[in-house]
Amino acid sequence: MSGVVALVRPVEAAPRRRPWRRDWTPELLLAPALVAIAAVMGFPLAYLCYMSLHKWSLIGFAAPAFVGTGNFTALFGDERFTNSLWRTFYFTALGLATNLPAGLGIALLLNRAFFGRGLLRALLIFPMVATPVAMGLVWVVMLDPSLGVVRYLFGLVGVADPPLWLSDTDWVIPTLVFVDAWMWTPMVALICSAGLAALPVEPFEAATVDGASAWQRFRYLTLPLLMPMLLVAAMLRLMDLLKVIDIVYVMTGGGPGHASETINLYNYLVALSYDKIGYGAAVALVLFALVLAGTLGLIRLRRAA
Amino acid sequence: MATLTRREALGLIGLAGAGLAVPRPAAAAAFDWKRFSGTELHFMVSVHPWTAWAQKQLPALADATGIKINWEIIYEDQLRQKLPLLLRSDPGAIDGFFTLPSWDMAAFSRAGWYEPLDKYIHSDLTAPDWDLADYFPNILKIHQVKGEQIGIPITTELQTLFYNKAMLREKQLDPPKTLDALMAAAKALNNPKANIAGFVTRGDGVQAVYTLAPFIFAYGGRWLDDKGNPELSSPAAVDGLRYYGEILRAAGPPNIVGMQWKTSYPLFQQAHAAMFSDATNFITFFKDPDQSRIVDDVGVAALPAGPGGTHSTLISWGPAIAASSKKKEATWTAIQYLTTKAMAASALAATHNPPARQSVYNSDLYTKSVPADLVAATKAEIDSAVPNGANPIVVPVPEVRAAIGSAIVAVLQGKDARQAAEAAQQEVVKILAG
Repeated sequence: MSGVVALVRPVEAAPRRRPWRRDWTPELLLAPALVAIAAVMGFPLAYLCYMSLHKWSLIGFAAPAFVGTGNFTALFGDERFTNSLWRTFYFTALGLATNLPAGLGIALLLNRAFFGRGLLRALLIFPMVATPVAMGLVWVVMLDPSLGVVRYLFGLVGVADPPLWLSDTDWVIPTLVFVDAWMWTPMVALICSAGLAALPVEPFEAATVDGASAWQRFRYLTLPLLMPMLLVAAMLRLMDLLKVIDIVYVMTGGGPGHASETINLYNYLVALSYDKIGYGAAVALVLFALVLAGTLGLIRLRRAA
Repeated sequence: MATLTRREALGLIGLAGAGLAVPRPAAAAAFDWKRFSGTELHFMVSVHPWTAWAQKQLPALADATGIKINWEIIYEDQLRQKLPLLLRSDPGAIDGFFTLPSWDMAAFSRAGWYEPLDKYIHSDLTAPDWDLADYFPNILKIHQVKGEQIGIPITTELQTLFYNKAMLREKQLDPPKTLDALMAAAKALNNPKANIAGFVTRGDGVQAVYTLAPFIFAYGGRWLDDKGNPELSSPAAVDGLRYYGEILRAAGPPNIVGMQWKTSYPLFQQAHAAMFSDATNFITFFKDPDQSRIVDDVGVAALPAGPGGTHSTLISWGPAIAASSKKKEATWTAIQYLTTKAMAASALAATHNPPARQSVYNSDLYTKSVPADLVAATKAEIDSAVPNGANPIVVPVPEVRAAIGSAIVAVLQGKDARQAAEAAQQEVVKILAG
């Protein structure tokens, strides 16, 4: 061991450069990007942390007062916050559980050659490019039990009394997840489609020759090979689902009561409507930590895959 | 309101010029509109038909007064965030602003951001024919803090009962005048099989605080006591809340829980509800032949009376002077110019918002532009309506509305009104304490 060290050391030491004289080109080239990131991301984040440690109000009759971690400890006694947190997890889990299989399924269908495939692909993008707020409002009208078409369609297949969707505290989250899935499953499908198109052909030919069934080919070839793409889609969806606010805001405003209040909506209300900037900053930091943790977890999974 | 066709509106504008014996500001004798000529002002206002109309009057205002105004229009939510910041951190940056007292008053008056206007109104800074007494006295109260004027109301926004004439006729019912009659009529008209609700209003907690208010007032309740403490669990408030839950559970649409106004008014408009209560402005949607199925069937009545009488809510936006402005007298001149009788008539023709001035309200320009029963209903309500009754006048309005809203949702879900009211009372006490 020491012999190796003895052999290696002189080689390592040979240039004998002083550290500051080494080649700084990579760092220099990266510097503008680093400065930009620090400015547009680092500063707001640092300022958010600073605000979260204060009792802070815009209308305010008093200057911001330092309260230490008071805002964070208050969060855990705040039922609306803890409820919105669990509700967001429920929304996210339900969203991922529907988006990913459905997106993969659509991608597998689109992977076969059939007449009108190009058109179908183009049509798929439609819900995704439409404004979520406008689409949310359209769905509100469609789901209305008196005026909407959904109840009528259920009636056609023999369901006379479908749930009240957005007015039912048990159904409101699944309904919102459905609308979200209607908008964003196509994105998962497109990502999976791209992945499928890039898969190597040889393993599949070999498997077919060896007599593997379609299910076996899917289970042991397609799925593992596609896993990195699927995880990218999962990561993008996870971030969006945890942060969901637009469709909830326009479709239910968090109601009935607080039954569909997600953490991001609660954050908006607390900070900008209730004028508790410091407390809102604390909520925002918790949400930020959640999204970051979820994303890092998926990145690690992807590396493993 | 906008029940006018374009041609009718244009005709009415001509009528305003000819029929209303109101002098143009520049023609008012002996008043020097040019006293503050050369002054530049900064107004921050929200998106609103009146502010859009006012923006178009600025060139004429500059000609008549020599005052130039930087008229900054932003969305209401942004106004509530940006205005306090500027008023607090940059005195003199804002001269005038647009305020909705039911929402802003507690915070703005406590912070000292409103300039009291009485000393301007009752001085030679005000044209003799501007005429404060022309305003409905109860509407002026919307913009008063402890009896002192802090802004000038520009509209009359009441709540009334809208009903479908054909549906009531079919059941041989008269428009209900009492809460008992309303309950009976709603139940009689309710027909779930035909997808018709007997009565609909808002069911979304935060929004429904506004539509619940007249029911609490009708039982003799009020939001706050004289010291500003909440009175949400008073017997009258509980009765109002219970009634609201009962009528909507018995005769409301199936999805009433969480229903926002954007979902409730289409039900009435598409003949899926027999009666509807909300702001008078909704008449526009019901009289629009392009979207309404009840253009000829919509009737309007004053809100039904309870044991405590009938008390609608009365709210209005209006311009105010920033206490930190360094050009308050010029700002008053500008506000005064935009609120003269002639200008109020011009604003009505452009915005269709019911006027706050009696002379314009009683003129043909207004009475011929809206259904006669709407004029009758609102006239019956104006004097007994509660100025700024839309919600409790407190600093944290949105948070307090959310707390009251939870109680509304609870009764709509069939929970006990007393328990719901007491929970809201405790929650609001907690919010106000801290």
